[in-house]
Amino acid sequence: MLGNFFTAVGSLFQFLFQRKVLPQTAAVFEALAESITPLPGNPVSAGSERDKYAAAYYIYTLDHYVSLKVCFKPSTFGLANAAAKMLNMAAKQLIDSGKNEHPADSAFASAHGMFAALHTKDRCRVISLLEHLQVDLAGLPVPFYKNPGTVLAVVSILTMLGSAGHYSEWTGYGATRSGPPAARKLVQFPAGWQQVGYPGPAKGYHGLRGCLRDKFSE
Amino acid sequence: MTYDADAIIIGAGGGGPVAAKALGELGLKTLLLEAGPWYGHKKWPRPNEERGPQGDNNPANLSSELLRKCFTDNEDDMNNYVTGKFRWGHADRNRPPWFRYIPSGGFIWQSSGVGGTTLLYFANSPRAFPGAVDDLWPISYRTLLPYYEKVEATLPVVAAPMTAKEELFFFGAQKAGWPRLKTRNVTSPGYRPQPNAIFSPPPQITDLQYKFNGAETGCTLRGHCINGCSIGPTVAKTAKRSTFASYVPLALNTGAVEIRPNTFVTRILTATEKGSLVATGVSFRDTWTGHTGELNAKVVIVAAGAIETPRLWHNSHLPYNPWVGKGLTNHWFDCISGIFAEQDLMQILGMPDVKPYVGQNSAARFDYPGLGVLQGLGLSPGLFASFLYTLSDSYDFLRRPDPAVPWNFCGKVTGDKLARLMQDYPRTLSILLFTDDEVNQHNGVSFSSFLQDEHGPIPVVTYRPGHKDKQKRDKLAAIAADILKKAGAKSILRADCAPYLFAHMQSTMRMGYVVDEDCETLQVKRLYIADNSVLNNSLGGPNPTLTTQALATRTAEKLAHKYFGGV
Ligand SMILES: Cc1cc2nc3c(=O)[nH]c(=O)nc-3n(C[C@H](O)[C@H](O)[C@H](O)COP(=O)(O)OP(=O)(O)OC[C@H]3O[C@@H](n4cnc5c(N)ncnc54)[C@H](O)[C@@H]3O)c2cc1C
Repeated sequence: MLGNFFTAVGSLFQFLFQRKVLPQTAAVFEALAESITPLPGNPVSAGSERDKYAAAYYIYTLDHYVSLKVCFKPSTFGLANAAAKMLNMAAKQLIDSGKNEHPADSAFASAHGMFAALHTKDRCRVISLLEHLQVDLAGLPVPFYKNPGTVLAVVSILTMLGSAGHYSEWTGYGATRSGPPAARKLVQFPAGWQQVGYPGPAKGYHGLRGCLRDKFSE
Repeated sequence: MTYDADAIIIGAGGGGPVAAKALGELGLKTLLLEAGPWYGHKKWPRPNEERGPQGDNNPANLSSELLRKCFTDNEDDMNNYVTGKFRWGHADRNRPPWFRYIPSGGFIWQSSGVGGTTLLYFANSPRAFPGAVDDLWPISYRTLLPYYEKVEATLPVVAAPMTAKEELFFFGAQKAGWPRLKTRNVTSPGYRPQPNAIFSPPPQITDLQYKFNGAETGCTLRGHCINGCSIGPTVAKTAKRSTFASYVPLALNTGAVEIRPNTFVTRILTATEKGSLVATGVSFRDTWTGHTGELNAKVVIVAAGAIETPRLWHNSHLPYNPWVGKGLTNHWFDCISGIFAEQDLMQILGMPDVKPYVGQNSAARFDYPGLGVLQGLGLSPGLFASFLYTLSDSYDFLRRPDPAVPWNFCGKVTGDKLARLMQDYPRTLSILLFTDDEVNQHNGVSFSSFLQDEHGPIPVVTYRPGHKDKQKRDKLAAIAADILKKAGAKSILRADCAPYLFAHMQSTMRMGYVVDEDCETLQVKRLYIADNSVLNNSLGGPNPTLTTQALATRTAEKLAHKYFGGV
């Protein structure tokens, strides 16, 4: 009981004051990107340049997502570390409950966290558990601790961020991606666009095939 | 008492500028206050980086060159929820967005800025279904008609041009046995081109040698409605008729309207006059400097959108009304798509793909009064992938196979499967679905004094569609799948969106409950509402903006008559 209390207070402090991206945070989001949008023909992309881009996208978004006034001062709450921890803890719960279909790589887990040690499909199972609140919420870090609303608010956007990060122009920003939004410049043709056959924005297309009817009648 | 203006309008989105233009034409001095930036304006050449002046009223300062600089066509740059130019947040994108809390998950897609969410809307401008208005609203459909006609002529609204994706949609709808609709007053099911507030393509569109430069008058079919349309020789002639390009220039032309961007209204001010509460003005906060101030006017019109309008009511401590913020409808979206084989497309269209990035984002529709709406959807790939494959709360691979359903995939798709499906992007035809969702007082916006930002308690949004809504949505999904099958799709995908996507928020300050039939609030006189929140219900499914704009036109007329002697 008391142990739980101290863990919760510890995680509250970490949430409020930990500003640095923890090493496992990047590993979790690289793993998430790998399971949502793997590189075609390459189911294991872990550690690839693309996954690093995708992790940066997740981390930036989650760390700038929530801003509230605390003690009369607007503060931005970095969510990336806490969300990564939540995924790791939920991954552990998946394994403890025997719901993973593939064995986890325990050697990998100690360095990169439990989530990244799971098979890509089991990582989706972790998200699914969270989406359906089938995890022990008391085992999650602040602000998710016993708080189904914040769990759903964050988990519901994770898949979308993965695909938006990969199929938008983001991967074309190269090193400028880590700068402020106004400083981002397309330095290469985005990989996702290439994969799907999108030629990139154009000023117009000669695509007119007439009009079904030129005028409405009443 | 001296007044800063005859009328103050809060919010320059879908509704606010419509009221501003009507009041300006009557010679009423009008201040239009907008929380976000102003794109395409010489006084704000770097709207996301510098504060610029307080406001402007000169239509000659609008600049299409600057608009093209701001609208880069890149989907993340424009539509990223956190840093996009079209986000609900401060003009300065280095600052975080303004937070809304949705405890059941999802995201609210609204934009601050002159133009509001019409900066990124598709400009689909259908009327409500008559059957969703008559005997349900305090006013009849017939009452709305002259205002619909006026807005349709002003924007203007025209039948959308057809590209390959629309031709395929119509081909499927026809083969499925649905009739073509020939009216804007829809009472029975059928398909038709979208009535879009987008100028028809320019004559050069058929000249294959012609190279587009972005300054043409008319839609060049480049598929960036959602990422910001900047096609046009001037701002006022921009192809897509977002309000920043339609009603805003018209309002400025009257010489009676001033617009102040970067001005967040935090409170509606009131006084008691002859025993009743009346609006007297607003408190605002300059979003760049944090300075606050007050402005007063004879009439205040709130057009801050379906979430912020009830928030303002709450944060201004206006009288309790059990319907303030309640009754939210949102058309519980879904998306059904078909993937086609090259040879089939060759046969039907004479080309091997449909290219979802060519043409207006949504240019074909199917209406079904009693159920809702289906409409064609084609987008750039990041947004496309998000709509099709990420918005469910379950994974396709975790579902038990069900041979009875007409789709091959249902729910979120990830991994190798997603990569493979996205390789079919050029051959995918998508249909967006809007449910005729019912008003429920449990759905809406509430506030907790615990969660605040610099503008006061933040909105907490709840939306749980009911059993009937689910039934309607499932029926529509089956119709969409059938249309795609009949068109020749080889496989069908259902996104099975959870009620996560908030893009058509409406009916949170309903006519008949919070406002009267002229959109004046029942409890505070001289306070009017002119945005999606006054809609009495979900209109039966049709996209809401045209109806909001028709009502805003009517509201301006009514308030001028009541408080300014008709001028
Ligand atoms: C992707 C997408 C596509 C869409 N396509 C269509 C379509 O094709 N057809 C259609 O009918 N609808 C469409 N919609 C919906 C459409 O955008 C809205 O119906 C419309 O913009 C609503 O108008 P509004 O005035 O209620 O709110 P908004 O357009 O959101 O405008 C509200 C304005 O008020 C400002 N504001 C808010 N609070 C304050 C404050 N306190 N002080 C000062 N200013 C404030 C905001 O910054 C904003 O500019 C689409 C929406 C999305 C997300």
